[in-house]
Amino acid sequence: MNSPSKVPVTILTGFLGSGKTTLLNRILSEEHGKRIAVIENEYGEVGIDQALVINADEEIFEMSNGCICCTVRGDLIRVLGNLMKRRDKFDYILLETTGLADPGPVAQTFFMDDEIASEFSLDGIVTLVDAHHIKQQLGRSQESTEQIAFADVILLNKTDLVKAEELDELETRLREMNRLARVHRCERANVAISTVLNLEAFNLDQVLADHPTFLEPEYPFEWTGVYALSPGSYELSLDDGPDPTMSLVMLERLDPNEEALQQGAEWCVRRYAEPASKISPGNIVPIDQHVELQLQISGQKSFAIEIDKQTSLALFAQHTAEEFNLRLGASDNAEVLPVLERTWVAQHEHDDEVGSVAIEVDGDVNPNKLNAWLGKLLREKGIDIFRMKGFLSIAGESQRFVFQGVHMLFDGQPDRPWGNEPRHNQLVFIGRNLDGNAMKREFEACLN
Amino acid sequence: MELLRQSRTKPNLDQIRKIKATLRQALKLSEEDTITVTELACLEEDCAPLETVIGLLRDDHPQIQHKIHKPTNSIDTHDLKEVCKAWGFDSADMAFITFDKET
Repeated sequence: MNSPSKVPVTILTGFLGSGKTTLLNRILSEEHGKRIAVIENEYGEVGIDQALVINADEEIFEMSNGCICCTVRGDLIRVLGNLMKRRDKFDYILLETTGLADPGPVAQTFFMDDEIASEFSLDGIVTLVDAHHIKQQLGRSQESTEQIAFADVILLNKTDLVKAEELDELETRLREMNRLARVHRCERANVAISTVLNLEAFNLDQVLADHPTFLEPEYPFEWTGVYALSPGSYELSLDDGPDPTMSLVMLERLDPNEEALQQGAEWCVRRYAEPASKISPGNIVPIDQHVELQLQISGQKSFAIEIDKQTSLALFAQHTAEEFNLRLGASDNAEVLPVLERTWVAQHEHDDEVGSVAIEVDGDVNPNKLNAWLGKLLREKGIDIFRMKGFLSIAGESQRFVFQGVHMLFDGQPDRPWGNEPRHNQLVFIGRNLDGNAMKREFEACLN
Repeated sequence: MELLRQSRTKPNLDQIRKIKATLRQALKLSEEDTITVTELACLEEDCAPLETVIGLLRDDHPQIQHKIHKPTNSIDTHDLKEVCKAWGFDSADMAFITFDKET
């Protein structure tokens, strides 16, 4: 959504000691041909050629008009106002926040004053994370959580100070909090400039190119295998895996094609919501029921499956076949291979109250219904919605409508024509305690 | 509540700059003082669909703002006088305001 006439702005955020200044100096000292103005308020001036450095005292400006409560940074408005008078001196802005800054007011500032919004475009928010200390910070500080939630790019810095398995765990946690952000691991903030500048991070197309499964719904199962079976007895074998149990729903007569698989998945989601029957090794696994295979004993575990007529049987398993070396054998011990396999985006247990909601729906939305829904959502939940972005197919409009927003501030514009592309809607919200299912239902009610 | 309409009809930048310049002159503001002009889609059903919030940021003064219940493009001399009055400036200052959105 960056217009070429606007000056792109990258916000650098992150806790004290996370490496913001190291990254800033790295960017400024590299040959990238950009004239960068730096706005910073944590350290003194950094004397670097080709950069203007402007200090800003933190000054919060409450903009409350009864309907929209919005906090912007008065200091930043002034600095940007002054920079507008010197636009010919630079072509990029880097804004370094203090370690304790709430990124909300900083980001909102770029949406508030209409003259500023016409001159500058928020290219992206880059959050540096000290891999060694972030665990303690996330537990203690709301700011550090919000800095993660607001990020378009998370730089997991100082990875040399943390063990590989801890890093994996940390990265998973960060991704669960903000599924939109790209995560890069680095030492001494050493990343390619292209990972932090000119991101056009508010462009959802780009985000989806990076995360093709981002908008897919999450399922309580990770893997499905569809088997073509004749009547007879079969043996389901599993080796030791990451869990002492595994949930499973088996569905009969599922045609081995993508459409049937999707329908089957929706049906199985409902079965997964029911209490599971515990099945111990050696016993028959019932079909069409939610079961929990008991895998506590070490070594190979086998379960029986009885098929009374020719069918295709789909196994919707909590884990991938690979994790447990899951195999299906016929009575003659010959292995039966699946005719179709599919992995799904797995549901995760969210320990943090900050998370992401993705909505993808085909069809056209009714603008009046959408206005009413968005208004209500932003009025009631705007404080808890940190970021939103997406595009909409509005009834009667020939172009896609792209939007972005921060808290209660919503900004959008027509984008490219739909042409022959199927009309659909994609929306992403990152926020605190968002009810994704309710939001999806309410959005679907806005369709024509 | 007109979130989508607001997004499609951006306020006229010339109009915004003129509002700022007029207030700056009338209120005898310095270069360091900042005026913000923001058109917002109100989220309440019984409010005007679009309204304009004008803010004034000065050193050593509390930040002040005033809301006009109309889109930025419809603001006229009377509205700006109301802003000055709400902000407690002398009526003598207001006499200097001449703002015609058509010019």
